[in-house]
Amino acid sequence: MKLFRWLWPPLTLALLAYAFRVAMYGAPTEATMGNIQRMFYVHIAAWSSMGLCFLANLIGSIGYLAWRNTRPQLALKSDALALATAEMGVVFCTIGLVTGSLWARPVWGIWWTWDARLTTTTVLWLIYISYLLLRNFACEPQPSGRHSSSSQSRTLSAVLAIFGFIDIPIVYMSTQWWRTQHPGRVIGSGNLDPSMAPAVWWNMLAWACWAAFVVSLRYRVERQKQRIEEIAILRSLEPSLQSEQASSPHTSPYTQA
Amino acid sequence: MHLLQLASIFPWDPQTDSAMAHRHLVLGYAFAWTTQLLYLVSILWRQRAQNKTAAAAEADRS
Repeated sequence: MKLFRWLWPPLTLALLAYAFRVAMYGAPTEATMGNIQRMFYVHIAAWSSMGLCFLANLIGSIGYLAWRNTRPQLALKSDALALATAEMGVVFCTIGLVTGSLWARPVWGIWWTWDARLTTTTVLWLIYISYLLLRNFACEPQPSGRHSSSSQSRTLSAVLAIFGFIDIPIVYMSTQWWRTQHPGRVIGSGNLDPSMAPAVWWNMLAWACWAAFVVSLRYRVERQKQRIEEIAILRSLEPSLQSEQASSPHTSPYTQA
Repeated sequence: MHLLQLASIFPWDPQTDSAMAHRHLVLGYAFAWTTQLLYLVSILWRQRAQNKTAAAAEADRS
């Protein structure tokens, strides 16, 4: 496991470098758009990684809700996973929106249009931004002087994440369900040109590995924060427990009639 | 790094590509990686701050 943790970053960097090379020099130049079409390889890799992150966020949120009363440690781990993947997902979603807009300006002649794909994606971005805001601002002061997410805000965030995920299939299917200016689906529709396929798949794989690496770092930071908070709460309870023991050393309040 | 130095690694065919298209391609990749690296730095920063908090709490306890 330790070897895997050490090997993962260099492997990811090598994959990213190779994927970039394939995107820039391996894939053919698109006939009508020219080289600006190469933006597609970073754009689609960001979207696919975002989808994976939000799926993991959904799993973490369901896990937190399922285990919060019965297995608190497992629930906290699920919550840390949900937070880490939501942050990374928002980063990918932002990259997807900005790269799409940068591509649209020379190709469409406009930066933005309110078609179904772009609008549902903006809604998705706003949902997960509100998820992060809810987690960061609906928190309570701890004995250590820091602020931490309360179980209530964790529960609310988890519910929001489950409802927010409903937008993902809507975003994916939007080009099929409505008439849009955005190009149609490429992945899963058979519209991907075979000569461009290696660049797409290598970039998607490399970005997914990168996402796993960054999420694992963020997850560890969140777990450490949870442990620090647990210790702070236990330490704040110590004086009251000691005084309780001193006042009634031989009887427990639960055994008294 | 100057953006123009970065631009040379991105293919550009003046016959088919406009200067704006090339600039936007470079900007797209630059934005994608700057954002991600900034996020990575923010995680490492938080980790460093938490290590300090944990060490201070441990010292306080002992």
